[in-house]
Amino acid sequence: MTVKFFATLKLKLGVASVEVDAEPGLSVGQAIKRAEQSTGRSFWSDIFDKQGKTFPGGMVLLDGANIAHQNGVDTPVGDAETISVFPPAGGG
Amino acid sequence: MAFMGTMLRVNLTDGTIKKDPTPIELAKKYVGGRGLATRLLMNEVDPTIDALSPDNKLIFATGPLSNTNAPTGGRYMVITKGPLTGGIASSNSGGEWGAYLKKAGYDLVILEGKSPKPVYLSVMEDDVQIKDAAHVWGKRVPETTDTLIAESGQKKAKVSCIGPAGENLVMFASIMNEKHRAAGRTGVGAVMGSKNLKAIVVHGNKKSPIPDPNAFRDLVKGKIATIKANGITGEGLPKLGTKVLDNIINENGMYPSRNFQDVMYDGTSHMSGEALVEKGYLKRNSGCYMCPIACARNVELPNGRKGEGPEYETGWAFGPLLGFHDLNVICDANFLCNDLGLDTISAGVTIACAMEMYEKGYIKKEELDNGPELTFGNSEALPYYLYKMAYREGIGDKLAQGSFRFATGYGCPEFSMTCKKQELPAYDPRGVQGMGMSYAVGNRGGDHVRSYLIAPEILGSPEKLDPQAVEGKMQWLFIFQNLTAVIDSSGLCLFTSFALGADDYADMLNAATGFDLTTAQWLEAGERIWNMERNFNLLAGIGPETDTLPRRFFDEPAQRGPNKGKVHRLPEMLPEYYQLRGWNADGTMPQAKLEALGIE
Ligand code: SF4
Repeated sequence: MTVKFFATLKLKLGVASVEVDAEPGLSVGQAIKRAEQSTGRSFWSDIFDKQGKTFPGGMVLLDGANIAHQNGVDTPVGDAETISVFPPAGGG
Repeated sequence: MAFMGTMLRVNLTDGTIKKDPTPIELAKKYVGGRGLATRLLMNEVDPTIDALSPDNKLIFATGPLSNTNAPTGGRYMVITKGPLTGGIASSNSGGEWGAYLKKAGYDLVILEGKSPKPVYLSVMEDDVQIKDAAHVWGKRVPETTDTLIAESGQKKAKVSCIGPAGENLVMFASIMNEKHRAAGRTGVGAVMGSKNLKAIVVHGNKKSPIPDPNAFRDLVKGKIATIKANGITGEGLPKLGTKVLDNIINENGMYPSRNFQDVMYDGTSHMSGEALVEKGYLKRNSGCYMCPIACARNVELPNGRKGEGPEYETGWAFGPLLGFHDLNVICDANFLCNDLGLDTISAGVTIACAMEMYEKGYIKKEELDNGPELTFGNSEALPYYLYKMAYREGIGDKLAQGSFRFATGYGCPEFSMTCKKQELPAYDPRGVQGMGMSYAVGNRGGDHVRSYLIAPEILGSPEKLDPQAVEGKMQWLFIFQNLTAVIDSSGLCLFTSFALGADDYADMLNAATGFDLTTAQWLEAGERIWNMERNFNLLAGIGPETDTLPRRFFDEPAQRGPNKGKVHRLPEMLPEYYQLRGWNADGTMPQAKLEALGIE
């Protein structure tokens, strides 16, 4: 599946996305850890607090649906194709 | 205190200028800025008058925290009866102009009547004069600004002015200060133009009186630290500005394209906030008066054109909404609107409406006078029709009335993406139920900054709500509307509310004014302001039947993305909203509600 990076995270990593292997049952959190390994840079703590919740203004979307309204980082990726990762951002 | 204690009353018909005491006793009930100015407008203007007649009044108002060192304390509001909605018009701008009106010694300026010839108002502390503006009439915003600063003899003078669009009474003309900052929405620039008033130039060195300046400074330091420590206001907004939202809103499946016919746009990454950085167009960020956030973008294009912006809404209205994503075209169109004094949201949404009508055969090719075809994706059309609108040439004369009047003129108002005749901003209601309600019941029509529910529904600030849920949303809407009325009225920028809460604003307002009101009392002032604005609209003939959305959002489900199949669920939420507000079930306002809030 594709893990896409946005906002300051995209600028920091210098890549828009990476492909990770996602077997059935893999969680969103595990997929993001694999994406971290693939980029060679750690960014988990830019997105999640100690409890694994996204910071206000940050978000993780599984095929567009926010994992905050599913099972958080434990949400299984299922047959989704994309994870979108946003660090805290906002505007209006 | 925090108020300068004096307001200017300028009669443009007979040229008299009066300095009246600011009714500070009203500030406990209406805070200042937006609230106080609306109170004065209600006292003095019949809501049924023609907005562009000399009977209308135009009020420039600062808040108690303007011209203090409170974070973002430089904002001001323009309040009047608006030509676009026919109801309360109320527009907020940043930069430094608001702070400088107070430095000149005045809390508000009330403009009455109509000058027999083009003039501008010069406010240099005690020296206040109406001056001839024949030499700048017809000029664009940057030239007007430079000319009037030079004439004032004060390099630091600040100019708030209209461009050709305001002079030509374009119904969504803006008022621009410091060239790039806009009181953009609700057509306040047309009211200024109708009064033959080109500009207000302000300068001074006065300080706002604060009861205990040291205690205030310490308090403010804490609030600034909170803003800097917040991920949105300390990192996201300074680095990428509001344009960081392009990808966020698109990935969430609620980024309207092709006049809201689609809820996503495939080329978003080519014109996003990230692209602005990666392409090297973004040179630096900057901020308004006393702003620790500094979200403004300073951009230079490969063609050498420089300017500020575009903000998120503008980038969307001049790109994906029209079916293209050329960042050069988008930025140039933004610069053009700032120069001409046009509201970018209403301008873009009106052109999008015309494109859908053209593609569907309602507008004939002959009507375009050999101009570019009004088809989605045709970026050539954008600057051409912006110019035509501002100068009211050809079909631009009709477009200058906004999309509702334009589409209604062709018998197809369903293509106008407006609420109460004002064009909608860049969040598709089918993807975010609370924000959709915010449009539907907004006092100034389709608008995003009077209750920015995107913060909880999408960004998770202060907590994450499910954007498709309807339960409990109206309570959030109620609180956001009331709190925003307090923030606008205080003279601060709404973006501070990503980091600060109601108690923080209450602290700063009490410390600045010397009042001793509880947070609940300040929020009640916000509720009072909201109800007063609603009452103005009801008296102006804008009834509860306008508390709705364009049919598209009920009849045409989202076709793709995470909200596929969804429509907006207004009928499930509207009765609860009326009930929370304490209004009648039909949305009218009981006299008892006005009395309970002490609205005379
Ligand atoms: S946050 Fe942005 S818009 Fe608000 S005052 Fe600061 S620079 Fe101006």
